[in-house]
Amino acid sequence: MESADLGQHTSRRFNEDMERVTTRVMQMGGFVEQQLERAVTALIEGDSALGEEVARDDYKVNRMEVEIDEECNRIIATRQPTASDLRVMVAIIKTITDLERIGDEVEKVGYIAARLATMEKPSDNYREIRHLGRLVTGMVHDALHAFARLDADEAFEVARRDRKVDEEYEAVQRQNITFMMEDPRQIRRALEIMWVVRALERIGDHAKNICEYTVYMVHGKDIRHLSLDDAERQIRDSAARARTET
Amino acid sequence: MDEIVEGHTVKAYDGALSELRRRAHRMGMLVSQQVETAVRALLESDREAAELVLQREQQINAWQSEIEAESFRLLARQAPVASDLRTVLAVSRAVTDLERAGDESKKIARFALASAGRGATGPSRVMHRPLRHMAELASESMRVAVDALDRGDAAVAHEVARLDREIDQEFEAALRQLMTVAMERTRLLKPVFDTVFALKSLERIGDHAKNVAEHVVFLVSGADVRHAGAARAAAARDTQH
Repeated sequence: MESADLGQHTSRRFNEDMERVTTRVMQMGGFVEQQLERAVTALIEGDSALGEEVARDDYKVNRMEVEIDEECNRIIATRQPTASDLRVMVAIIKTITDLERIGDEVEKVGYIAARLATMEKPSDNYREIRHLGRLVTGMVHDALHAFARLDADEAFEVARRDRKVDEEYEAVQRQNITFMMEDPRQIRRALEIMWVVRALERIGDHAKNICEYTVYMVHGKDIRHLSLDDAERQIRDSAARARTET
Repeated sequence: MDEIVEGHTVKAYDGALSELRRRAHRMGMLVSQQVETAVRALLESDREAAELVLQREQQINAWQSEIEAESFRLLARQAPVASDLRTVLAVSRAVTDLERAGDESKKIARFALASAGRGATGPSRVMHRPLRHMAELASESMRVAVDALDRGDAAVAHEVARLDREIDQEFEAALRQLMTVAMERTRLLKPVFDTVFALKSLERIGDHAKNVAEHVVFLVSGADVRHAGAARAAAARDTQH
């Protein structure tokens, strides 16, 4: 349909487009990470101004999502990428959706941090939240790292950490309920904390989603509704089959 | 195969596009139905209804994968442009929201199963009415949104946004009421927590329905109306500084 020369030309332009878009996704990811760290800091330090600032800055995340999304749609329409390039585009579009949702969760944490700043701090000074915050921030950071480097192995490793996050989440919620039962005056604060913990747990889910898109990009396999063990086994098996066939 | 209709060449993929929308619509109707079944299971401690929701959740996931794979195939093979491209993109975005809405019903069904167990406690009596009402609203807004997706009718976006506001208000009111319950009966905190999350799930289903309606606006007009309110607020802020 097209000459080799034209094909090359198109693919060079496409590669330039891709590089530009990938850079912007990484900038967006970096900003979301920073927002997350600031929101947890605002909560722990009782810094209401910082909490409000984080919440206010969420519009920047939204704006980045819309801009990158439009850019991707434009590339798909004008470059008509091949199947494997198209897979990368789809993965990018999905990734920025999850980043935007992480932004929304962070925004909630920011508002709650601002509200809680005036209340008495809990005796353990949010030790559990600090820990959970570190876990999910690490997941987001490493999920983006794996995405940028097209590293499916790292993506699997990061996705597996979500189980740890879920366990911590359950533990913190149980502890939170115990606090409330012991001291009903704490109920208002404990309910706010419940939302924070919930937001952090969801951020872990979104980071895991990003890992799944990386696997999709690299192996062309949709693993969302599979267990991680099954997904890894199936990918290993099909790679082994491909080797014996050639 | 191709025939000329009003100057347009009707290609085989026109059929594929309407088939894509039809399948998304079918998936959305099931998602809408799941909401009410899950809440009924919760309020009536109906184990079978809860199991049914979990079983159908598998179907929803499978449909999502199929519809996305088909969208991808159309993008790769047909390289659609303009409104056809928007249809494919809008449908793939919509099914992501539908799947996530389905997930929320699954969470409610799990709570229903747990609270139908011996010695467990379900939502307090005063929460039955808000739960039922929010389920009706969420299910209705999802139905309206996916009907609009099927017909390509952007006008209903306002209706869906109105329903979403109603759901949000109901949610806020229920939370305040629940706080009083929590303070009075500290022994029942676990079911209170679970009820808060069930209410939150319904509130999110309303958000997903609103998102679907926004994807329909994009499909019809090409306008991205997500974060429109927030973007205006941000623009106003930017000019202030």
